[in-house]
Amino acid sequence: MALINAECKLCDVILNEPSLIPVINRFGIILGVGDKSIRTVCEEKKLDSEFFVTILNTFINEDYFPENRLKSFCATQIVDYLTQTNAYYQQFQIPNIERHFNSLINQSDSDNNNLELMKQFFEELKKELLSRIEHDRTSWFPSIRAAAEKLRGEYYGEHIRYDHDEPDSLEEKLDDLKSLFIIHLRGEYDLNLCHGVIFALYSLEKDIKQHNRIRNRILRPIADAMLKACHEKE
Amino acid sequence: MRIAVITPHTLLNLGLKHLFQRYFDISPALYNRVDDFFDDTPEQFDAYLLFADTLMAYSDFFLPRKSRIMLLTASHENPTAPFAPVLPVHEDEEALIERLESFVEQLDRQAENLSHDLSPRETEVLKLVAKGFMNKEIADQLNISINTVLSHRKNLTSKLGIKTVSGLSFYAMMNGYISDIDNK
Repeated sequence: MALINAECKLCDVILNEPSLIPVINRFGIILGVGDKSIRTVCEEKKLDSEFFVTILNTFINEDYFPENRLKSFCATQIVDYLTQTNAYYQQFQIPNIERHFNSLINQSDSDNNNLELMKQFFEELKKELLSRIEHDRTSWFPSIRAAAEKLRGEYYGEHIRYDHDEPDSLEEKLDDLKSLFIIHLRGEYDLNLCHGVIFALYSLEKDIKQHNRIRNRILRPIADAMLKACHEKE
Repeated sequence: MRIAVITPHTLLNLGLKHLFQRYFDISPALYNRVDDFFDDTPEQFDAYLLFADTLMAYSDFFLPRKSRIMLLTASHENPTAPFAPVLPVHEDEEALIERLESFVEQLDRQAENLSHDLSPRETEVLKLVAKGFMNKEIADQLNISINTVLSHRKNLTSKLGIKTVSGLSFYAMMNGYISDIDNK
């Protein structure tokens, strides 16, 4: 899809790309958006329209990732956004997958223990995701906010370094779970509920990939630079 | 699938890249200079697109890889007994896509012939990975080198589509290779 800009009507963007609905929710925008432009909506909600548009664009276009622009936003804004995405995983996406998974297991042939094992694999993945969220909430994000408070507008750009992407174990496990469904599923099962689980997994995976790109390639280098600048100040 | 396009013509390279991306979801690596291609681990590619003069000049490398080559031709005559699939660069878009389509299909077929079920050795490695053993320990237990273990693991991942240790463990349990996650 083509890149969007602040003059686009928000409703057109969402009609074209409904996967953005949870993303706009994170900014406090709910359905019934009317036919206003993104700029107007952002003004009403007191949102930074440039940040909003950039996030939507990176979400719709997997290849689009304007690192320099993203690095120009303030760290606390990015932390706020990632906090919201974490809340979304915790409150909606994970429970949604679990709900579908449980009904799938209940409605399927009880001889089929493959599904039980796949559910256990999902539990492991869930535990890993939740513990990362907990660490963000109690340790990493507060330390970034504190550093931002301390630096207040001081320049720390010269410290920003980005090394490389580590393979992410959550993404890899989600990938494996998808393979277990798509390539290796056996036995009798309820087709509709199975689709429900798979689509829910795909949507979680897409979201986590976007989250990880912002987290690892933008926030982490900025946060490291801020902490270093704070350290030098002391 | 990794494809290398090796011609001195930038626009031609970019045009091929566009067609591969648009219709086959493949991003070929482009080389304007043959030297750059040879500096860049040429063995890593699954297929090569180039003109006959490049092929002849570096036949030591390309001839053994004959089944994975597509020859670009600028002439309007079709070669009588083609050495490899050809891509006449003047043809219209539809014809080019059709030729690329059958080339990609040929490559997929070759790849398909290579993959079978898990070999007995791979199954043994899978069981040990699933039980939580490290590569070094697996090598010692099976009396093979660590590189061999790595290559079995690579095959497991490409045959099963599963990368992580816990994913492999659950696959092994689902298929009765192990009964429980022990030693984890």
